Amino acid sequence: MPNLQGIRRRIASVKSTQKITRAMKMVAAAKLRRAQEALIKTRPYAYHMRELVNGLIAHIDPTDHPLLRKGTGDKVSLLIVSSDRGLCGGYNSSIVIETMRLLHEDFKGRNVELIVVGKKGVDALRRRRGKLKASHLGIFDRYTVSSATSVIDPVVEEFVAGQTSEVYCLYNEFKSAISQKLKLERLLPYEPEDTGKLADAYFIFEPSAEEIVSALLRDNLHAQMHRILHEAMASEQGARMAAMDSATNNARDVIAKLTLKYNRVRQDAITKEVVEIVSGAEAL
Amino acid sequence: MAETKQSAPLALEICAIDRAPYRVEAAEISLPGEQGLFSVLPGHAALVATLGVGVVKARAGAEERIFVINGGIARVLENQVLVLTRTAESAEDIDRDRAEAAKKRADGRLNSQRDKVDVARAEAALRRAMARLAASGNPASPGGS
Repeated sequence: MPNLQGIRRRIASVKSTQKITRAMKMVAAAKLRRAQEALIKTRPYAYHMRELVNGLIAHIDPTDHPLLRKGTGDKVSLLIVSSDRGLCGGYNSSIVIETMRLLHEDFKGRNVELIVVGKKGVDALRRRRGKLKASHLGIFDRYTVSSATSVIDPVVEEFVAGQTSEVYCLYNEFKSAISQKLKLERLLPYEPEDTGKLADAYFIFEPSAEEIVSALLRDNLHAQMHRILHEAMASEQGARMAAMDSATNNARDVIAKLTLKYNRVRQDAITKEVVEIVSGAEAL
Repeated sequence: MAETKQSAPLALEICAIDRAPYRVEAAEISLPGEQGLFSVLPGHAALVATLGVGVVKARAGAEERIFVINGGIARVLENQVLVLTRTAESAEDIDRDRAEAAKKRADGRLNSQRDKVDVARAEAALRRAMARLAASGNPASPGGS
């Protein structure tokens, strides 16, 4: 027979775990709200920037621009955005799994260099793959615009210098509080998806179109990296909130089950005692 | 050309990298182009221009709204004016004391004789501080951009 005290102890321990997960859920919810607000602020700039670049590329000769031409060689830079903290469900593991899949399928046979943001991704990928090209830890704690530039600039320099032929970024796009979408985006060489109406307009450029587009291409990379990191921050908090919510619910179920068991065992014990007393009295 | 005919007013959108965009309607907008101030009136030709540090003024009737921007680019197309910049502040949001302090700091740095001074950076900081002060009322020194 399972002992009563043991069950009581387990209930108490699950309850205290539940307290922690519930508190973490609250914290994540508050952080999520802030991250979401910040993301909503950065999106217009990033989207306008992309639209402008896409439209204006049509006004210049793209064949020889260092950020538009395809590099030589088979070296690829892959930027991976994970989180610094754990306890956010499958957030980091899904990133790592997707990275390994990319390495073994899409980028098979190519020389891929990993640049990883976030402690969790750095730890997991270093275990699996050994040396990383670069790792960025703790940039989410004190995030500023220059954090984004410090991540992207070395990668861009390498590309411009002709050491890498392509630059990709794997990150989580924030859809809603409970859903994030893992997304692989090619950052370089830059390729406009749709040029929009800006391509056909007749613009006056001050200074020349080439100078403006060159400056914009770099600004756009910064803007996109800034947005990507904000997407990741919001996604992380969303994932954590969802994970902690389900952990709290699981704890509640476990407590309910244990309480039922506890009462059953207690009643059994009482019944047994009563039977013993009654039969003892009868025997007299 | 029928210059007197009033076209639809201009829509101005100022987007900074880490701030929700400002959206304003105006009849006339003046912008701090890198190659000199310029104004945009309704019906302006399509234009893309780089911007310096300075003040954006959006006038609608007697009302005028002023923003300080820090470089970037402007796009004018079909009476839509889009400004993309690193930082933007509406005149009401400017902290004069902070700008004043920043100006003093930059001044001090430029005037100090040490070699370690990053002149370009200090000058940029000075320009930003002066633009802020100019936008938020009587400028501390005349001739601030």
